[in-house]
Amino acid sequence: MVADARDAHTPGMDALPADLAAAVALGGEVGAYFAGFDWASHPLGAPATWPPEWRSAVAVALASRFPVIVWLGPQLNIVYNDGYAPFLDRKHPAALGKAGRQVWVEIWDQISPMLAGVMATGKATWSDDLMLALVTDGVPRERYFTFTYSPIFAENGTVSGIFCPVSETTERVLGERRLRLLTTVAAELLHTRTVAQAVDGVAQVCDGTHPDLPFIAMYVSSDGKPATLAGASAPVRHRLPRSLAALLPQNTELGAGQTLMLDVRDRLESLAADIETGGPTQALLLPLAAGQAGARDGALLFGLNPDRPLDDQYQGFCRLLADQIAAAFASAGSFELERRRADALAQLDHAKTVFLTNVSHEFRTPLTLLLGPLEDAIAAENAAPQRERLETARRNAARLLRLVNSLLEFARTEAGRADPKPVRTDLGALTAQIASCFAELCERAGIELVLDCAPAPAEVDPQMWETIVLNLLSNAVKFTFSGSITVRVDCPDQDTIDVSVSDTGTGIAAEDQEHLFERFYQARNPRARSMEGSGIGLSLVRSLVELHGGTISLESVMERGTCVHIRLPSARQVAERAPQQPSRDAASGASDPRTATSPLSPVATAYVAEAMQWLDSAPASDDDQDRDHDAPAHQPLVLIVDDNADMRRHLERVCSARWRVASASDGESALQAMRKRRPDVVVTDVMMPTLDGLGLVAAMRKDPRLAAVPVLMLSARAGVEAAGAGLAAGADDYLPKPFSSIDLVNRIAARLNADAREHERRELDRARARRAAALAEFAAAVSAAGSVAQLVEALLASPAGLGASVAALGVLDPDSGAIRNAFEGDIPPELRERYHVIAADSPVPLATVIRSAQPMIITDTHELDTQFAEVVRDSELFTRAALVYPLRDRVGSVIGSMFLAWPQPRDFTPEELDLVERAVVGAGQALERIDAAEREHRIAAGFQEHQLDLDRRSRAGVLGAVYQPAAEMMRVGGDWYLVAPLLDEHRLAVSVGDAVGHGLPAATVMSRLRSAAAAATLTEPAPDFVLDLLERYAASVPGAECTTVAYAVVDSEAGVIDYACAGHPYPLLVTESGEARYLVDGRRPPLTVGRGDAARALGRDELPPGSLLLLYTDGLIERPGESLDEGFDRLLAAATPLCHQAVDAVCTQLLEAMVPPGGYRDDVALLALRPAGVTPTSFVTAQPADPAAVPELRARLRTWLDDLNLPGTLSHDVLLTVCEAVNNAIEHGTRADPRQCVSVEVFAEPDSICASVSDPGQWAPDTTTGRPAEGGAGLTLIYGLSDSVEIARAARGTRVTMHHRRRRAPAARPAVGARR
Amino acid sequence: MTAANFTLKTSQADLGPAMVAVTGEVDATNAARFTAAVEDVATEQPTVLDLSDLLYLDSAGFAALHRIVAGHAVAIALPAHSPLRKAAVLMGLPHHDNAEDAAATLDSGAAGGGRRNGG
Repeated sequence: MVADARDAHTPGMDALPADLAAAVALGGEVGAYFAGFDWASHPLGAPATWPPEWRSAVAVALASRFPVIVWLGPQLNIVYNDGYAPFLDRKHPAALGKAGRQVWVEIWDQISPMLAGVMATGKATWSDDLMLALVTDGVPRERYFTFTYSPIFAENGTVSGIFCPVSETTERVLGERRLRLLTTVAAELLHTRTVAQAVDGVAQVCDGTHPDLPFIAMYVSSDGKPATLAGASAPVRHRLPRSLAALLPQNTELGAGQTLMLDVRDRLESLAADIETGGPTQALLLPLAAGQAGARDGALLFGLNPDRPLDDQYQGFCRLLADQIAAAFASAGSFELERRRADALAQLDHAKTVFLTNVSHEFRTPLTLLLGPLEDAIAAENAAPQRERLETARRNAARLLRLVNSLLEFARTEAGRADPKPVRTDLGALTAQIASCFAELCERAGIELVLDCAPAPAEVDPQMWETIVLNLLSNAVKFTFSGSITVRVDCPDQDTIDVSVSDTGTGIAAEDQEHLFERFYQARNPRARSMEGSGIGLSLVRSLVELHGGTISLESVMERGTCVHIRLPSARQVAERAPQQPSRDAASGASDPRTATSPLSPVATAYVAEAMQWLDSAPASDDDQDRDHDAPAHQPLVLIVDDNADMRRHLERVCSARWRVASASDGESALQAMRKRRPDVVVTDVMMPTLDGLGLVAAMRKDPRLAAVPVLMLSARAGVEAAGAGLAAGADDYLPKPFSSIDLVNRIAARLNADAREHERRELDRARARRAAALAEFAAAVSAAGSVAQLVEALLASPAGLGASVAALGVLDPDSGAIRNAFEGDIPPELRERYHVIAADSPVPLATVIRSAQPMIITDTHELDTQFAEVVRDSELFTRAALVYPLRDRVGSVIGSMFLAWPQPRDFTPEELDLVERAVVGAGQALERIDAAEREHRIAAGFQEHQLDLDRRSRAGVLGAVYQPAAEMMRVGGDWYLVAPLLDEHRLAVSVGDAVGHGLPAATVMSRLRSAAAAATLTEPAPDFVLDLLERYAASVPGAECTTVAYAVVDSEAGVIDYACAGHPYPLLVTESGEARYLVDGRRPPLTVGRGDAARALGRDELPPGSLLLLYTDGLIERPGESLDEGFDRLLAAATPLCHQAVDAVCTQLLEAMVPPGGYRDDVALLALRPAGVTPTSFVTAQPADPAAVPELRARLRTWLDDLNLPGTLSHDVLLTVCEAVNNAIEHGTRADPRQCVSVEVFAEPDSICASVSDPGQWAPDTTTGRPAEGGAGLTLIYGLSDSVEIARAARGTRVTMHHRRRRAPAARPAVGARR
Repeated sequence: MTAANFTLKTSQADLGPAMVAVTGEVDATNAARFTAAVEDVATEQPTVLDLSDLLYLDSAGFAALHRIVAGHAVAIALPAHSPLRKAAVLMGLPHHDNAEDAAATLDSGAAGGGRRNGG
């Protein structure tokens, strides 16, 4: 470039003095233009005639890479540099040399007073985030700048010009203000429950006062109707079209992910008038994200700030806001859906009750027609066996009638249609009379029935009361095997009557007690006379008691007994009325309760008859004898197990015709019988007292002698589910009631003949159990996974992974559409890299299933469609068969994909596929959970990272930095790090600071102080100057009190560091020889705390090449309950071994090593610096990202490697891999911007060479498919020539670390082979 | 900041292919020039490229060689002691242990670059 400038013949050139000539050579485009400028005819004259202070100021400005403008002379003629030229937009280059007022017309009113002040007084100005509406692309734009006007003093002490470094802060200012709106909207939406609330909340927050959102309008569809305006910012609310369609060009629809820019003048004429007063000229229409399930159709309309272009950041802001609102709509939508579902359930419940009522009525007629003829037949029958059969039929028809009656009564009370007919009566006598029906029964059962009923006047419906007492008594009998049942009625006072039924039975478990009065609830108490029951008895009792204005409660102690209390109002309390004549049938006995001898009512008869069956059900001790007197002994033995005596007798009758029969009344006695004599088949009921049918089967399967006996299970519970439970428990067959005799016989016969099949079934059961265990284990592992990597690991390790050799998860990034893959298992690292990020449309199964939402079951990859040829070839070694499934979140949207692979072609059984499909469901939900947590973290860390850009332009050293949000909150904080390159390329300013507090306020203070520090280094980088300036500036920033700062200027050529610390923990220096020490000089108090006049100490130390400097905030070392010294010691110990690690690795490893149990309580900023330089064991350089500079790097690195005398081709391999990595870093990590630097750190260890190359950006997802790109070839060389390679990616950039083992002396490598 | 440098030395036996010995370095900064220089010779006649004394060849250089070999009758000699040998194997660049072997494949009429020597 020097040569170019000389060759060009230009009029001003020869006249340039040496200092300016040197500066223009470095000054790029503006420098060249300055050199060629016709200064001789300019009012300022030829530069050779300029005063020395102008020349040096202009020289500094031209050579600087930082934007600088210099104002010269009374007319303030301007000279600026390359960095400043973009601010001038189209005015450049004509602006050079012009008078300031001609150039900066649009902002002259703002800046001229400042300029005039500096010219007059010599006092510098400082403007922080000042809004200047510069004309950009021909339009005035809202832009922000931080700058200082510093005086240029002439020899005589007057001000002859102004020097002004400028930094544009627009992005930060806008970023902060947009984040604030996003935060406010998020807070507003947090508790909305309906879409309407969400709409109102958004409209309220986005009221049109935010500069970047002049208005918002929300168009939402409901119930599939076209979207209409649901809400909008107040100023535009009534001026917008009602329907979304009116906004769209004719016959078009807004596709998912599509945005539409509307010109207000053309498409929103109603708002055009606002443009005059600064209203938006354009609006952006975004569809409500369709990916969200439960989401509504519709769109959001954003008014756009007319003073800002719709750049990437602005679009990103709109998208974030739209996503937030869409998500809130979606969750509100699902909430509404839930409520509607609840309403529907209530309606269904009502319909069911009505149905029950109708059906019960319909049952009564046929039952009556059954019972009547049966009575007649019994009366006419004399033959005992036939009579017994008829009796059985009658008993069970009566029982059915009783059940239908209580069902009807229950349905009536449920529907609120029960209509009690109260009769004034003596409740004591009535109760005693009803209870006495059970006297004979209790006697037979060996239970004492105690009646203790005092006279008690009450108004009750006698029929209902009968139902109450019979239900309670029959329950008591069911659960009482010995002792007594006591029925007590008394009047504790004038107004109340207490009725209690207590027993000494088996009691009710505490967890069942509270549910006992709920309808259909049945306590599962195995110790009962019968397991029969509909589960409505107690619920009905409670309803009836409540109809009478009473209350019911229950006390029970296991193995001690149960007591049910009823409390009713006494009739004395009820208004005195004339005693009604009971109009009921005499059977209720209400008219004369004392007539205890009156016959039982039909209702009572049914209850008692049923209870009698329970007593019968225990067969006499000799009852389990075979009923096989007439059957030959070689016939198979059938054991019948049922607690219902009628049923048992029926089964015996049916079976005894063909086989020998034995019977038992419950599981326990059946087991005893079986141990005496092994049956050939067991027919058992499910619901039985003591040990039920399922328990019986389980016990048999555990007993080696009985394990193989086939079991046929009978149950009244029909349905697939019930059958499943029976079969799962180990039953061989299942027969629902009612069943025909022929069917039963056939099934038993089939069982007896099916020994072979039985074996097979047992195998199936075992397989099923194994699968269930595998799934349970996988579910546990999955719920423990905290990251995608752990999730893949869990998948591969689980039996649900079917022993695959490779597993992978693809995670869809909804913003970029790219798919990020995590691999586990036997897969070469190079392929992991190549497929780490793939485009959504790439021909790779992990992407295909996300697009199609359909799984791919690949039994042989060679049979795949040719579009997959490339990935099939790449993965040939470890994938010949694969299962690839889309992963869905809880609402069914596809969020990723799962991949399992086997190295050989194979088939998959339906059971295997079923297992994997179940695992897929769990994995999808785990992925959703992990993704949500990670996204939250990314937002906080991403914001801070955006604020804390790491300037990688300096060649003075290599830099790593990391910011860690506090663990509990995961939100932004007040810690910062800063890197400021200085004019002298060997020098570099670094700083780490900590503003007090958390959250956005602290982040804002942090951001301002950091900018101020950055700007201060431009004027004068000396530590005392920068900290003094920060001190003064902090006094004007609210919330900046007590901020601590460490600041250092590093000179890599001189090998020194100048530093100072304002109340901040000491910087740590680790030398290459492994000595670590803190830099303890240069102390001063935290900002704003000290007195202004105190002497400021400065620290200076050696910073030899190869050493490592660490700046950090106190969050890194502090732990509760520990002194700070312990923290310092711990850091020293953790940092010392890292003296030969790349700076990026130092940051991540230190952060990991220092983490307190439970995570960091405070946020942490950490900065690591290693000065550029070479020692015998280290080679450190910050390499300009310019491909043309690589040969020079190679020459230096080769010299360094030659001195190491490495064996064989090692030296070449290190050289080639490092240069390939540098080329990749330049191409992918810096977008070939030559001002950026790539860090190269190579360390010679006793047994290896370790080289790291880091870039400031992220590699593009380029290596998906297609021909190997040259970047891909570079990776092949890097992996192929190194012994091991690690690639670490972060928002901050990518680091490639290559390890090369030093091998034996070259003698070990025969060169003979070459010369055959 | 300068590009890398290479030198081509061409010798011609009476019969048979041109012998081109390459020295210096070939990388991304001069791969295009290198391609052009080699193609000048290779379009005229079958050519043996002798890389025995080539100091440095990066992935861009390998890509250039792949293109040259695919389009011309060129065979590459790269002896076993060369530090580039391992990289050439990784990149799948066909090569031969010495210039004679390379020339032989050209003589045998296998136009376009000879056998692949996976070795």
